[in-house]
Amino acid sequence: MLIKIAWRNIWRNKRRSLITMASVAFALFFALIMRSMQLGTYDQAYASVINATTGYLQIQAPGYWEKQSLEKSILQSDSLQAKLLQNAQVRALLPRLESFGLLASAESETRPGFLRGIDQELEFEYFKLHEKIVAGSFPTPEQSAVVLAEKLAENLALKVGDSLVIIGQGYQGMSANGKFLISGIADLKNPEANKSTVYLKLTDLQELTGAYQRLSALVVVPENKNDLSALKQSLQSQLDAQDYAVLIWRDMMPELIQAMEADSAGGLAMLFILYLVIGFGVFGTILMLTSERMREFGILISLGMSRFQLALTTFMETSFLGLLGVLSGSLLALPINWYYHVNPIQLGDGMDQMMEDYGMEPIIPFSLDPSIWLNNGGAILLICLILSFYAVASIYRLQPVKAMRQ
Amino acid sequence: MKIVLKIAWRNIWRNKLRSAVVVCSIFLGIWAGIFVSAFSFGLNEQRKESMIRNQISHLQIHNSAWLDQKEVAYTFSATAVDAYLNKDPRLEAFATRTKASGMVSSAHYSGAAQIIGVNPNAEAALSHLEEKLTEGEYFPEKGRNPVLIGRALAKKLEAKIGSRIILNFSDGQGNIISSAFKVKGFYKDVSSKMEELNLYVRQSDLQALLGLEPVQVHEIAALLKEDADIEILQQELQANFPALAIQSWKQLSPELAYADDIMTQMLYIIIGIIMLALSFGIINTMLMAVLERRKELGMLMCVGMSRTKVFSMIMVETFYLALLGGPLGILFAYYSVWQGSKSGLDLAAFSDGLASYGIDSVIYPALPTSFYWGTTLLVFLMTLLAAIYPARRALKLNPVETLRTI
Repeated sequence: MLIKIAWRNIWRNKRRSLITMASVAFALFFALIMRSMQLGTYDQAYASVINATTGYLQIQAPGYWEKQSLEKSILQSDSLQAKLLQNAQVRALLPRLESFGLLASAESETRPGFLRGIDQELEFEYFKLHEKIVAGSFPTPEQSAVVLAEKLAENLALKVGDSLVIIGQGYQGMSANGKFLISGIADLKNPEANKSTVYLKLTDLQELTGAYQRLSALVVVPENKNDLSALKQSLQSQLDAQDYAVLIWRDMMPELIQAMEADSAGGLAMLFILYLVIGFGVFGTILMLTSERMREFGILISLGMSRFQLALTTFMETSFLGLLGVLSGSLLALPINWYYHVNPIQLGDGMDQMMEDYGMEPIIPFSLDPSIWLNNGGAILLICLILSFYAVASIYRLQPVKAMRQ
Repeated sequence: MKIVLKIAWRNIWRNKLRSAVVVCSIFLGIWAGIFVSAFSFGLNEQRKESMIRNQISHLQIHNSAWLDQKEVAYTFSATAVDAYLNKDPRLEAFATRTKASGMVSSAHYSGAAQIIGVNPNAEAALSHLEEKLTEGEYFPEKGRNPVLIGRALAKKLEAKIGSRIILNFSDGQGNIISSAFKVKGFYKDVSSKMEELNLYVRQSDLQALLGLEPVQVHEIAALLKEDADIEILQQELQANFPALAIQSWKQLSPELAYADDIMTQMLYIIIGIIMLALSFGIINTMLMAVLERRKELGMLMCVGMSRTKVFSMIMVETFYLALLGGPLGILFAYYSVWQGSKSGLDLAAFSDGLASYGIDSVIYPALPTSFYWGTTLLVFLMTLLAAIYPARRALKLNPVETLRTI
C-alpha cells in the first residue's frame, strides 16, 4: 500500500521526476564510462606486465629484488619445491634464472639484453609462452638455442637460424660469454620486454653464467589471484626468512602501481565533484517536493496517518527516484562499456608512445567488473537516501494545523 | 525592463533555501571544477618542463642515420653547427654529446648502461647536471676516466665515491671495449629509471675510447630562451644543415606534445561535464519555480504583463542565480589556485609513480588566464540555455485556466 502510494507520488509531477532521474542517470552514466575505462586500462596494464615479467608471486633470496644480481640467488632444491607444492594454494612453481648481458650479432651493434633462463614446459603450461612465438619455435629438449623477443630481434637484425653472441658477467665475477643458435622469435605483448628479452633454457643459462643449480626466483602460480597476501604469509611461514623472501607483484612494481593510483585518484576527484553537483540537484528536488506538499502532509497527519508511515512513504519515493535514475544510467552505460570491452580503443598519435613507455600495449579495453556498477550506483543511491532524510525530518517537525493553513 | 530586473531579484529571495541550494551548487561545482583543471594543467606543465630541462631540451641535432639505428658510427662534425649556435642570441645554452650503449658492472652487479660523453661546462649550463650532484665532485681536472652515476645505480653497484666500475660497449667496428672508470659523483634525477641507466663521462675520454675525433659527436642539444623561437630556429638550422636531422621537443617526445595539445580540450571537457550536471539542477529548480507560481504568473499575464516580459523575468531570475554562484566560484578558485601555486600540493603518497612519470611529488596548480574567461563565458551560456525551457514553459501557461485552479 505505502509502496503503491510512493510509486504513484513519483508520477504526480512527471517532468520533475524525469529531470531528477535524468540528472542521476547522467552522473552515473558518466561515472560508469569513466571508471570502466580507467579500471580496464589498469587491469590490462597489470596483466600485461605481470605476464611478461614477474608473475604474481615470487620466492627470492632476501635483497635480490633491489640488486637483481646473481650473487643474491637461491639454490635449486627439489625438497623445498616439493614442500611448497603441498600448500593447497600453490598450483605450480616455476624456476627462473635472470641475468644481464650484451648481445651481439654479425649484422649490427651490440645491445644490452635481459637473459631469462626458464623451464620451458612449465612456462608453456602456465604462461602460454609457446603461443607467443611468431617465427620458428622454442628449442627441442636436445637443442641448446635461444628465443628472442620480437623488437630485440629486429634491432639486432637477426632471424631464426642466425646466431647470437652473449657477453656478460656470471656468478661470482666469472665472465659469461657464449654463442647460441636462434630457434625462434616471440612477441611478448609487452613493449618493454619486447625490446630486451632473450629466453634460454634454465640449464643453458646456469651453465653460461656459472651459476650451477642456482635460481633468481621461484615464480609461484597461485590457485587464486585475488588473495595473494594470505598466500604470501602462508609461504613465508613455511620458509626461513633469513634465506628466502616472498614478494607479490605489487612489491616488485611500486612505480607502475603508484602511477595508476595517481591516475585513479584524479578520476575519483572528478567523480566527487560530479556527485556533489548532482547531490545539490537532487536536494533541490527533495526540497521542492517537501515544501509543495506541506499542506497535504498536514491533512494526512490530521486524518490519522502516522508520521512514521508518511515519512516512510516519502523516503520510499525518493529512493525509487534514485533507483530509477541508477537503473537507467546503468542500462545506458552497459552497451557502450560492453562494446569497448570487446573492441578496445586503439590509441594513436602520441598516446601510444606514452603507454609503451609504461610497458603496456597501446589499447584501452573497458572493464566490465560488476564492482564498478555496485560502487558507483551504490554511491549515488546512498547520496539520494541521505538527502531524503531532509524530507523525513521535515515530516517529523511538521505542525499539522499550521501546515494546513498555508 | 528595469521593473523586470527588480521583480526577478525579489523573486529569487522568496524561497531562500531553494535559491541558496542552486547558488551553492553552481559555486561549488565551478570552484572544484576549476581547481581540478588547474591541478591537471599544472601537472602537465611540470612534466613538460621537467622533461625538457632534464632530458630532451628544446632542440636536438643528430646525424640523420642515427634516428633509425643509434650506432656509434653515425656521428657528425660539430664544428659548423657549433659556430652557428655560438653567435645566436636566442639560445640559452647548448651542449654536444657523444653516446654509447653498453653494460656497466662492478663485483656486485651488472646492468644496461647508456654512457653519455659530455662537455662538463656546457652540460652544466644546459641540463644543470652539476646541481644534480648529491655527493662527490663534478668532473675534477685531475684523474683519469671520471664517471658520474645515479644514486639508484650506485646502490645496485654498491659503489662509493672513488670506486672503480667497468664499462663495456662496442666501438662500432665489432670490437667490445672494456674500460675502467672511477666514480667521482652521484647525481639524482626525478626518475629512478634514468638514475639507473644514464652514466656521464667526459666527452674526450669517450671519444678517445671509441676512436673518434674531438669534433665527432652524436648529438647537440639546445635550450632556447623563448618557446616561440623553437620552430623558427629549427627551420633555419634545417635550411643551413640539410644533411642533419634537427628535431624539436615535439618530435622527440610526441606523447609530450600530444598531451600538451589536448590539455586545453581536456580541461574544457571537465568543466563542460560539470556544467551539464549543474544545468540539470537549474532546469529543475526553475521549472518548479514556474509551476508553483502558476497562478501568480497567470494573474500577471491577465493584468497585462506581456509574454516577452514574463519570459525575460524567468531568464533574468536564472541569470541572477548564476551571477551569484558563478563569479564567487571563479574568485574562490582563482584564490585557491594562486595559493596552491605558491605552496604546492604534496603528493608524497604517489611520489614513486610520479617520478616514473618524470615529475616531483609536489604539484603546483596553474591555469592560463584565458581559461577563467572561458569558464565564465561557459557558465553564463549554460545558465541561459538551461533557463530557456522553464521560461518557455511559463509562456505556455493559459492565464484563464491557471486562475481557476487552486
